[in-house]
Formats: sequence, structure tokens, C-alpha cells
Amino acid sequence: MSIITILLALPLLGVLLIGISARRPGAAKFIALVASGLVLAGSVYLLGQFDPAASGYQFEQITPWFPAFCVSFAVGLDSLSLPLFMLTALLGFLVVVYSWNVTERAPFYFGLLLLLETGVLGVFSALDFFLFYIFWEVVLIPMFFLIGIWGGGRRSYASMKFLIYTHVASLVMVLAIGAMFFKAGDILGHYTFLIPEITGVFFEPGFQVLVFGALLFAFCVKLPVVPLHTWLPDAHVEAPTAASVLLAGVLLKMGGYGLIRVGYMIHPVAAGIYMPLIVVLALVSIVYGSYAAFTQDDLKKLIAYSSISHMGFVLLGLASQTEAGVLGAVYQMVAHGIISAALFMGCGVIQHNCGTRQISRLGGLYSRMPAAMTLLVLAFFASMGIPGFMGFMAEFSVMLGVYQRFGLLVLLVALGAVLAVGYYLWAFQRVAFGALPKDMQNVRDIHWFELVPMVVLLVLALYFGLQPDGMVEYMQGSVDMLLWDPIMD
Amino acid sequence: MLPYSYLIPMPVLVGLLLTLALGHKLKLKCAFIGMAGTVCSFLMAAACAPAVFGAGESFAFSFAWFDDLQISFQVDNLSLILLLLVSFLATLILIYAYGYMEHEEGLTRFFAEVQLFVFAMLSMVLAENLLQVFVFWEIMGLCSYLLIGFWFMKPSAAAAAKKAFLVTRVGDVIMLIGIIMLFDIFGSVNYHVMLSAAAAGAYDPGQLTIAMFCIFGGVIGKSAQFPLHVWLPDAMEGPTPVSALIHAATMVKAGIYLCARLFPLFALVPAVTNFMIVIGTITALGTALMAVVNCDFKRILAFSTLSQLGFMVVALGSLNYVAAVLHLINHAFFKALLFMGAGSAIHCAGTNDIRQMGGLLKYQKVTGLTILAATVSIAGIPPFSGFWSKDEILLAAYGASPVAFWLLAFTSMLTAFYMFRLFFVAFCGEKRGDYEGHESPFPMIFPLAVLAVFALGSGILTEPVTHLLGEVHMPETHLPMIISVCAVALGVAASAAVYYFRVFDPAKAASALKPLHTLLLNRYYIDRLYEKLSALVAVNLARLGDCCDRYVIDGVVNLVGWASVKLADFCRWFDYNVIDGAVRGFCFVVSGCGVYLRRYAAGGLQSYLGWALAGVFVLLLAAMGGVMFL
Repeated sequence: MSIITILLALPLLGVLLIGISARRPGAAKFIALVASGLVLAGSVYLLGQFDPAASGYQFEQITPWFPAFCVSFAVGLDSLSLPLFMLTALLGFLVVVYSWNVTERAPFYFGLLLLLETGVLGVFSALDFFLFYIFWEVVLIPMFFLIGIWGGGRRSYASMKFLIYTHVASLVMVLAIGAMFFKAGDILGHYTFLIPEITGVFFEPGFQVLVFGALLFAFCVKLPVVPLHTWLPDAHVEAPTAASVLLAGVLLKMGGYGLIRVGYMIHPVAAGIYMPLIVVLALVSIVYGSYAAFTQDDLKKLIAYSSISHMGFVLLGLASQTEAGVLGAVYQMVAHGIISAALFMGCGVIQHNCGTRQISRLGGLYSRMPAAMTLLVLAFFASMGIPGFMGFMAEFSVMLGVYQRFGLLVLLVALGAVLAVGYYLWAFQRVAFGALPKDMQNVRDIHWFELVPMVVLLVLALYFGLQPDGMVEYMQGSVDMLLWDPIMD
Repeated sequence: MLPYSYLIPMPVLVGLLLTLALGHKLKLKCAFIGMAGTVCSFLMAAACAPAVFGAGESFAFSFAWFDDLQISFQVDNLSLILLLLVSFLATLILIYAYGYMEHEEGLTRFFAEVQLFVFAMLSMVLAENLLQVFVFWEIMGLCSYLLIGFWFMKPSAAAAAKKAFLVTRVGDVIMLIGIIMLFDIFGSVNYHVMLSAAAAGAYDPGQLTIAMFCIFGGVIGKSAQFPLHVWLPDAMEGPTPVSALIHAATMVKAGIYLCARLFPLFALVPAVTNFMIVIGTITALGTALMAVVNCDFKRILAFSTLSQLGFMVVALGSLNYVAAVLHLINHAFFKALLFMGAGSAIHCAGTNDIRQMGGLLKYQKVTGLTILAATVSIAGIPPFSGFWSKDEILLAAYGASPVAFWLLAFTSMLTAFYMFRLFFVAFCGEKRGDYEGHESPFPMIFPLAVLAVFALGSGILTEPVTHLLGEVHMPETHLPMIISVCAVALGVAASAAVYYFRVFDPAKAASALKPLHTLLLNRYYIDRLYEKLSALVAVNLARLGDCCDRYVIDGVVNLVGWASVKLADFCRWFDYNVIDGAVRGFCFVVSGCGVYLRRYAAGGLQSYLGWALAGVFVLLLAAMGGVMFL
């Protein structure tokens, strides 16, 4: 049995234990902490065992599951999924810490967090399309309840919108997977759901165009890409902080990961044909997302729109199909995962301590909560792509790739980068500087359980910004895989 | 020492970490940690001097960083001059800050940010590739942002900080594109690779021209040239030591330094150097005019900094980067001195407005005299330092563009005029404000005295620096010098006549030229134009995007949802009324028939018999009819 299987089972075991001990709600957070901590420790062990030089999947396990339907339980990690798997394990642990003072229906809450963690870990490690789809759906349900129960005023609208929107996208994805299943079965002579086997099949271009179109739609909803994005700001606004952190930190990456793993790797010809459309969508997302962020009065909505803008970089880097661009795209996924998690945590601190996130009602908070504001401004700087933080290396790499492929189109990307500085500084000036509103004279500073996760995230963002080579070494394999050109071969 | 020269910024970094760790206990004494760091850096740089300046050695060092990019350092004549200058000035300014910031809150933050800045500046100077330059370039911008907003409770300071960062960021992003283009052209952004490839002619001229324009875009932002100059005057909202260090002596020179570094590349594209002359001249003249009418001590100095930076950019555009570097050095000394003197005077008078000072020389002998030393130097009175470098620049401009030369000569006259105006109004005449005059404490006036020596005497560096950086061909003529000395004399004389001897009232001149005066006081309305434009472009477009999201995209999404609900309602209606209606109707008919027929099945034998007979009759009738019909 692969260690990945154990890591996938651990959070479920935690859910079970929480269920058994439901009479003692206080125990839930400790169980969740231990379960997610063990997952984190296990994934660090995986990282140590992983051989970045080897190609293909590692820690593989393929066990027949429903042989009659050709379904097997297959998991494994390669250089593309390992960083995202690590990111999920890290954020899964940190949000449990961050939620330390949640008491409202605590067992249910921590159980959902653990279930969500299993789902996302499963998506990143599944090597069987059937399993991939199951995990993909497992992710939706806990998030739906997290938003619907612990959310804000319009939580039922937001949670329904989230569920229906993303569910429609996954149904389209299922159609595409089914088409690939039958087509690959015809070509191979036997039916299989195994991703590595289907990746090896060369589909005819006409079929690729059809299936890639469906996949592009499905994953662009998840990423999200303008104009399929409006579920995200609403979901963020209503979601509790921990759910927002996971939503922005890892759920959006499922879209990017799926697009690479299922879209680009299996349908490279169609990816080339769709390139102009993808570039337009990405540029629109970058610029439109930044503009829309400018005018938001809700700090969280502002950050949500900036996420849309930053995920546009992922799409654009992939579309460039250059080494720098693709590396930047993959790096940006991890960078955004770490940085946006810190941003939403900072935003959550303001929400919890001041009772509002409305920028127009805040002000002068630096004098009352210096630690929180310092961390928040560092997260802002990291997000706007200040050198020294991860985001800069990712954006630089994407811009380099874009210039190499598309020339001065990079100016539009640069516009996005300038706008990011604008909306963040505007927001920070109004939140942290100036006069303190009367009703906020006694707000307290950040709690330790909010401080620790933010510090960990920012230190990581800084470390991998100054020393990117450590992570790039692990990602190089996936970049080489993606740059495989079927026409050249 | 040279092999370890890449460690020069390290003492400052160690100081920064110590400040962060111990700051809450040490408070003001953090300044000593900072001084120790900068002094160590200075000594390390000085220890490299014999090998570099004397033996002409240089040093380079690199290791892999990200993909094809490396971290690389370089120490040669130019970078060592800058290293010495920055660490020396930083030390003096930290001493000054020890006195100036005595009664402030948040000192740990202040000293940590200053040290981060010094670290970034030293690292930028040491960097041997453009991407690394960019990294520290941005960190400097960040420190500038944080330090301008040091008094963050003041809305004007917070706004100025944001403006400074945003405006320079526009330039920085353009520069980043330039760096990307250079990477594409040369396959590397390391200086030695780019310069040797350029020397060998291995580049596409069109692409290089665009790339160098983009790089110069970054310089325009950081060195505050027209049209991105608007952030620097507002940056004076920061504490005075910050204005002296970052916004006069060091950070704003980063652009000049970068141009000097990449000078061989710039020299290959005449379009860019010509553009530099135009931009530099516009900035030099336009900002000097604003300095003439302004009454805020620090803003006059800020406009003057802009103007002097314009001179340096013209020197670069005239292909004489040595003159630019010379002026950079001299300007660093006298402008740092002027700002620190300004801080001392403002401390004493309690206001920034020079009209409310007056007669400060009586109370502040050291401050007044050192400011006078800086004034004669910046005005360009021979033989003080400013004269030498300004003369070189004017000579270079004379060779490159006569128009630029005459405009700069006029600007020299204005420089002499507004600097002496500042001195006469603030330090001479009677006391006009309501304040207790006193000299500043020793930590504040000691750096002034040291800098005064350099401000007066750094002209003697002209020869050795020119020797180190290499001779540049210059026109053989003394005409520009004669013209500039005359212009300066005129400026000083006019200033003395108006503001010292009071031959006539300057207010009359102002009212006579009211439209011009208003235009200059409002900074040509450029700031306001930008505000309106950014409101238009950013805010309104953003609102449009937001509305589009709320009403168009979400409109469609909600419409789909609404339509689905309506469809479901219709299905329910259809189910209930049509399908279920049919079922119910069938039941109704069947049960209705039953009710009706029940009457005839009430159990009477006679009626059963009667019905049976009637049935037989009907059947017989039908059979007979059938037979007949067939």
C-alpha cells in the first residue's frame, strides 16, 4: 500500500473519530489538528523520498476496484502534483490552527475541513479518472456546507451558486472523461480509466478539439476565468475564513491542475488550436480582475478579484507554451496558494476583531493592531509581486514566456501588475492609516492562532521567493512533460 | 578584502535583524546598531579601495538562482564609489536621526526600515545583473513607501506614500518589460554578457531601442523625471532624515547609477539619448521654476533635487556619464546637508514655511553657515564642488544640443536665485515667526559640519573620479563655463537684491505675473491632471467592470437560475394539472360511471332479468342486422 493511500485515509479516520466523540465537542479540534498534522508530516516525508530527477509517477499504487467497470484505485505523484499535494497538506493543517476558536457546531465544522482535505489531496493524487471524479465531487460537498452553515448574510445564495455552478462544470468534465474512456478503449483495444494510460494515447485532432473545449469550460469555471467567475467573489464574501483560505489556496488550483493534467497533457494539438481563445481569456481575466478589484468596498471581495487576476497568469503562462511561461504558471499556482491564504487570513483577522470588512468603515488600524497590519501589508506586497516574494518570480517567469511567444502583448500583463499595486495600496491606506473610527478604539490585535499560520505562510513565500531553485528543481519535470510538442516528435 | 566584497551589505542586514530582535528594549539606541552596521560596510568597502582604485582590479561572483538566472555580484570603480558614498552618508544620517527622532514613537520600525533601505541600496549597487537590480530597486521603493508613511495617522503622509509607490511602480513595470526584452535579445541580463554582445554588434537595433526606452522608463520613475516627477515633492511628508537619505542622496540616484552602468548600451541607441536630453532639460527647467515660487523649505529642496537630477540625465544623454556620476557625488553631499539643515531649522522654527522663519542665523550659527556652504556649492559658485560637475554637464550639453545648453544655463541662474532666496528669507532679516530660537543638539549639527567640508571641497574629487571612470571626449572650449558663471552671478545678484537688500517687493512681481505664479504654485496642474485621469481611467473603468459583473454576468447567471426555477414551476404545474389532471380525469370518469351504474345494480332480480332479456334482444338484433347486411 502506498503512503499516499494512508495520507488520504488519515483525515477520514479523523472524521470518524470526531463522529464517535461528538458528545465532547471540545475534542474535535484536537483530533483535526492531529490528523492534519500527521498528513503534513507524511507529505514532508514524501517530499524527502521523492526523486526529482526521475520521470513518471512515484509512490504509485494501482489496485483493481470495480474490475467490471475497469475502475481501479490508483494514486501516485509526479513533479506537477507533488507541490500541490504539499500545499494542500500545509494549508489543511494551518486552517485547523487558524480555526482554533471556532465553537459553533465544532465537530461538524472540523469534520468538514478534514473531509475537504481528503477530497483535494485525492484530486491531486488520483491516477484513475473515475477516482479523480469522485474526489472532485467530494470537494464540493463540504465546501457547500461550510459556506451554507458558517457563512454570512447571503450564505444560502452564495452556497447554492457555488454548488450549482461548479457542479455543472463537473458534469461537462464527466462527459469529456466518458468520451475519452470510450475513444481510448477503441484505440487501445481494452477499456481503462487510468490516467497514465490514456495520456499515452494519441487522439485524432477533431476529437481533441471537441473534448478539450469541454474540459476548457469545466476547468475555467474552477480556475475561475472571466466571464465564468462570479461564483467566486460571492462564495468568498460569505464563506468563513478557513473555507476562503482553502477555496483560494487549493480549490482554484484544481482548475489549473486539471487543465494541465487532463487538458494540455492529453490534448496538446487542441491546446495549440485553442491558444488564441485562451490568451484572450487570460488577458481579460488579468486586467478585468484587477479593475474590478479596484472598486470593491469589501476587503475580501477585493482579494477575491485579485485571485481571479492572478489565476489569469496561470492560464497565460500555460498558453505561451514556452519553458519560462509554463514554469511560471506552475510556480504561480503554488505562489498564489501560499500568498492568497495569508491574505484571506489577514482579512479574517480584521473581520473577527473589528466586526466588519468594509473598507469605508475601517481606518487607522495600524495603531491598534500593529502585528496584524504588518502581516497584512507583507501579504499585500507579496501578492502585488514585489521581488523577494514568490509571486514575483512566478510573474516574471510568465511575463518572460509571454514576451517570447507574443511580444509586446506583455504590456497588458504589466498593466495588471500596476493596477495590483493601486488597489492594494489604496485599500491598505484606508484600512491601516489615517484616523481610527470611534467604534474601533478597543479592537485587539491578532490572536496567536491566527498569527502563527500567517507567519509560516509569509516565511515560506519569502523563502521560495529568495531561493526559488529548490522548488523549481521539483517542477522541471512537469515543465518538460508539457513542452512535448506532438508535431515536432 | 576584495574576494569577500559581496558581503559588504551584510553588516547592515545583521544590524537590521538585531534591531528587529532588540528594538522594543533599545528604542532610540537602535541608531547605534544601525551606525555600527553602516560603519562596518563603509570600512569593508574602504578596504577594497586600494585593490580596485589602485591596482585596477575588479571582482565578480555568481551562483545559480532560478532556472537560467543567477545571483551575481560585481565590484569595480563605479560600484565601489557608490558603495563608499552610500555607506558614508547613511552613517551620517543615522547619527542625525539619533538627534532628530528623539521624541518620536515607533523608532524600531523607523530604524529597521532605514537599515533595510541601506541594505537594498548597497545590494543593488553590487548586483551584476538587471533582474537582481530590479529586486533591490523594488525593495528600495518599498522602504521609501513605508518611510514616507511613517506618520501614518496623518492622511497627507499616507496619501503621499501611496502616490510615491504607485507612480514609481508605473516606471518599474515598464523597466521590467525592458529587462525581459533584454533577456530575449541577449539571452542573459548579466552586465558582462550584455555589454560584450552589444560591443560585438550581436543584437537587433529596433528591439534594443524599445528595450532601452523601457529601461529608461524605470529611471524616469525612480529618479523622478518628467512626467513621473510628481511623487517626489509629496514624499517630503516623511521624516527629514528619510528625505535626506532616500529622496535626495541615494535612492533617487539609483536611476542615474543604472544608466551609467548600462551606458555602453544606451550609447548604441541615439533615439534614447536624445530623448534623455529632452526629458532632462524639461525636468531641470520646469522644476527649478516651481522652486522659485514655493515657500515650503523642504519642497523647495525637493524641486531642486528634481532639477539637479534633470542635469544628470542631460549629462547621460550627452554621452558624458562621468559628468553625471560626478554631479551625483557632489549633489549627494550638498543635498543631504541641505535637507538635514532644513530639519534643524524646522525643529527650531516649528514650521516648514520659510516666510515664518527669518533671522535664524542669529540662533543657529552652525546650521546657518553649513547651509550657506551647501548653497554656494549647489548654486555653482567657483571653486566649490557644484561648480565643477555642473560645468562638465554644461560643456557636454553644449556639445550635444545648443538648445539644451541655453535652457540649462538659464536653469543654473534660477538655481542660484532660488537657493539664495531660501537662505536670505529663512536665515537673514528679522525673526517673523513665534518661536524660541535655539541651536539643534550635537548629533544633529555634527553631520552638518562634516558634510559642509565635503560640499565645499568635493570638487577636488573631479580629477581622480574622471581618471577612474575613463576620460570622455569633450568640446575644447571655455565659453560654456563663462556663460554659466555669468548666469550664476546674475542669479545671486538678483536674489540678493530682492530678498536681502529688498530693492523691491517680490509680492508685486508675483501679482504682476499672477497667471504664471498660480500655474507654478499649482505645479502646472500636472498632479491634478493625473488625479483626474487616474480617477477616470482606474476608478470609473473599475466601476464599469464591477457593474458588468453585478448586472451583466451575474444577470445572466441569475437569469439562468431564475429560468430554471420557472421551468421547474412550470413542470410542477404541468405535472399537477395536465399529467396528474389526465390521471385524475380518468379516475373521475371511471368512478362517475360506477356511481351512475350502481343504480342499476341494486340487487332486484326482476330488473336483472329485464336487462338480460334486453341484452339478448339487442344481440339478436345485431346478429340479424349483420346477416342481412352481408
